[in-house]
Amino acid sequence: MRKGNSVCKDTFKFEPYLSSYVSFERILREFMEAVGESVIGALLASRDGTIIASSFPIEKNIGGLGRLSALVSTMAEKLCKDLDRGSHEITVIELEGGYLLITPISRRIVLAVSTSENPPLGLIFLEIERIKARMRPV
Amino acid sequence: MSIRVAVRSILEDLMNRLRDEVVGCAVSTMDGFIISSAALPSISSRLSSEKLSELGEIASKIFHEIEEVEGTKTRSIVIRGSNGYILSIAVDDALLLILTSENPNLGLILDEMRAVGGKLKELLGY
Repeated sequence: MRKGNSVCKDTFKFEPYLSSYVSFERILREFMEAVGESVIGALLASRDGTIIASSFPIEKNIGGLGRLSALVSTMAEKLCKDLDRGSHEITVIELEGGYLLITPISRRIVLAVSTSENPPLGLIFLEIERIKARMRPV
Repeated sequence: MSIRVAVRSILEDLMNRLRDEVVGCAVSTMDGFIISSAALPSISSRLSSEKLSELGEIASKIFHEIEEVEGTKTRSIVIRGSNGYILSIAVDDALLLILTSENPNLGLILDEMRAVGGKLKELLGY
């Protein structure tokens, strides 16, 4: 019996995940194109901090940022709930050299965006809302 | 006047100036311990010291984690919820924390927070 059959079967099984990955990457790439050079990079991480997709330059430690995003999102959600501020929509962190925006995209996914010092925050918020709308089915 | 009372008077003054924008505020150490707080009478019963300590603790944890991962200082954290905001700015080794109403004037609040931050710096001797 040919072994090739089982290989084909496995490839078929993973195809939906592969296509999701490709579309996550595409969503981030299109986001980066829309907001311009003020955004250094963006990433999608699962709630445990595992990276799903990233558009950061290769030298960036995205593992740490993924874990940080998941942690901040979880803690912000808890604060909003406990202090009667409703559901967590977005956290904007102003750093010395720019901003870090962290927002839940779905129950399982968090988006983190890192910017340079004077970014067009309004435009970035609009584009984040577009990503949320596109990823709602996920 | 004790530091606690002096900080409380600064916070109450802030609340009076931002009457329609802010529902509660507090100052905590970077370890998350509350120094003093003030809140509108309508929410003060729900804003227990336990919840305020939790706010201070979580905000300081976020500040520390960011510094560790990003290797840079955090100036402010703005958490937007569907019913209002939670704002936090670092005042050297302390945190100024603010809970807002649903549609606040964020620019005005952040500006006032920075001004109050200057007063707190003098008072706490950082």
